[in-house]
Amino acid sequence: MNVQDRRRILGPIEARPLAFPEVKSNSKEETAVVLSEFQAPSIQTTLLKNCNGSCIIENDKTSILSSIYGPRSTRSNLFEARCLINVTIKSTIFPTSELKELGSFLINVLESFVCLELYPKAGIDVFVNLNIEKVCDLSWYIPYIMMSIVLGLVDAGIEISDLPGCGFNDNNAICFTKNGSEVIGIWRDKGDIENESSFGDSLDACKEQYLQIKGLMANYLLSKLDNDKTK
Amino acid sequence: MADIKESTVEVHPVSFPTDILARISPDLSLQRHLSLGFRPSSRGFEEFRDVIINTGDLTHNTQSDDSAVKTPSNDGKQVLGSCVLKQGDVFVITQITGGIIEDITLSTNDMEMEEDTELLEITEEHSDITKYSSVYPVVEINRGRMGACTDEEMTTSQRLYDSLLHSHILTQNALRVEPGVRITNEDDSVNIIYPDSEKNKEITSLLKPKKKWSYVLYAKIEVFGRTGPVYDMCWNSLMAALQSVKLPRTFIDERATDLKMTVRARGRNAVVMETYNLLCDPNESTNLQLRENCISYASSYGAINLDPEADIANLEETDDVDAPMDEELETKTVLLADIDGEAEETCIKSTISITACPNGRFKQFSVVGGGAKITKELLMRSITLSKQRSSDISLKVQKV
Repeated sequence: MNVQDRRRILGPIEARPLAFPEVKSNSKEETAVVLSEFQAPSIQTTLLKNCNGSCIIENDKTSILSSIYGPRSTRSNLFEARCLINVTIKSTIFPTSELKELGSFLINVLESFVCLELYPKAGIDVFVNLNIEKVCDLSWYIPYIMMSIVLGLVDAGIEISDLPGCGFNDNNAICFTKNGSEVIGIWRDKGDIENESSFGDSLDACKEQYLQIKGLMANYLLSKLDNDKTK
Repeated sequence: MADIKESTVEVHPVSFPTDILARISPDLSLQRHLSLGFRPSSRGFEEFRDVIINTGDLTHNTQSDDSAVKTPSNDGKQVLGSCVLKQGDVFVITQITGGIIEDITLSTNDMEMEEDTELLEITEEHSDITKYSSVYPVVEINRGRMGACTDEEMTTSQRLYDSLLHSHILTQNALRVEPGVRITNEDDSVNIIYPDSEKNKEITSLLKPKKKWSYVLYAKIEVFGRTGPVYDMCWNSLMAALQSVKLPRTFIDERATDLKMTVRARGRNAVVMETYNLLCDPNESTNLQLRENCISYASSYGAINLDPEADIANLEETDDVDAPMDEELETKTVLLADIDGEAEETCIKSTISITACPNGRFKQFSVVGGGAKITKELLMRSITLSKQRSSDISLKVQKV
């Protein structure tokens, strides 16, 4: 019997995970170029019935499902004048520590645009499930994750002050709001920033991508509104 | 009612919208629906939810080849098989991953050589089941909560494990690892020889390690948007995912095949056999061999007594309270296929769960009494339906 976790059937402890020999990576530069291009994903909201809002963002490499529960009452006895946000990211590919860190990063980002004051003594729980192929570092997925969370929040009817978004360029994932005039978060997985101008270029590229994403989201929401009206 | 009318307090009937009534009084809501001839989900009594099944999507080895033995690379992916099943509003995502375990337990064939017949006799009755294997399932039902797994997740996992083991779908032999040998040639080129052809067999048997290994399969089953009982969806999804499993071939380096190290510990010499590191070939994989005639699909049913008082037609006719009611005639039990939704889940205590092969063999049959009158006709009807359902799902899985 497994001593660590008796609630789940985890199988014999002696078993080892399948090990693959290290594959020689075929020219890293090439993959980097491919990845920096943003692929417009397919979007679908109101997918799950047992949560307040949900959204799935898919392209051929990613499938990111966000489910939003809330605003709902929190268990804490303290009176909170503002809403508490919690983000949990699940993935089998990335280590849990990294996912937790990204979770707290996203909480910070969300707090800057969700109208927290409107939901006192309440909590919003965001769950993100990544069913993805590992093509790149975590930062590459952040634009998609952001998109999925924002549309999930809209689906849940939670008031947000803007349609924020995120862009990815040169290992930087930068989150913007207010049409790109304000930066609300920067995530960088690895590597040094060479100098100011290179970072500035990267910022501009992220902003461009953010605007593109924002357009996609706005288009989706408008077309959904039209569909709902015709129904 | 008569008493209240006499007093001065006036009672106004309160009416609720259907969805609110369904939450306040699920029992009444369900009975009213049933009396009209359909269910709260507007399905018929014996109507199942539609199922959409997609296998192998998450494994990325979709360019499958028809020749069963050599399939294209799975690119070093840990996920060996997968299935996305959508039934009604519920999504079930199953991912099958693997591991390798060294076989320490003797197989029955090895035991025969030993003289200990008593032990053999004892194990005989168990040996039938030891020929078969199961996967280790972990069911996660996403409902917006963190923390330890719920009772439902635990029981579903356990039930899946037991059912798979006892349905004899997966044999121990199918999971046996037949490692190849990686040979470095004189010119530093590396190739891997598998014991497929006769010629290779000779070479590998020379280099073959004496230990035995088996694959261990794990299933991670995630349920999204749960609206009702999930066992049959999990089972069907697991079945479909298992059929898409491609086991990577493994090999061992020739240098490691008979590696021994002498270790000096506390003044004594001891020989330590190197623990073999089996590596998986990212380019070669084989389909997992399942016992085709045992592949089965689950369906669930509920039985409920119709409440004559909730019958709307009855209500209108017999406004008179004193009208004679023939209880025995009125109670009627109906069979509802594929229980779903809050009202049905909470009100229906009598359930029938059947796992059947499309060819009509049964793998599991469980009935929970729970108050409703389960008659022979109901049982027979549920068996017929489960066969139909099973062949329907198997067609959908094969199409993929």
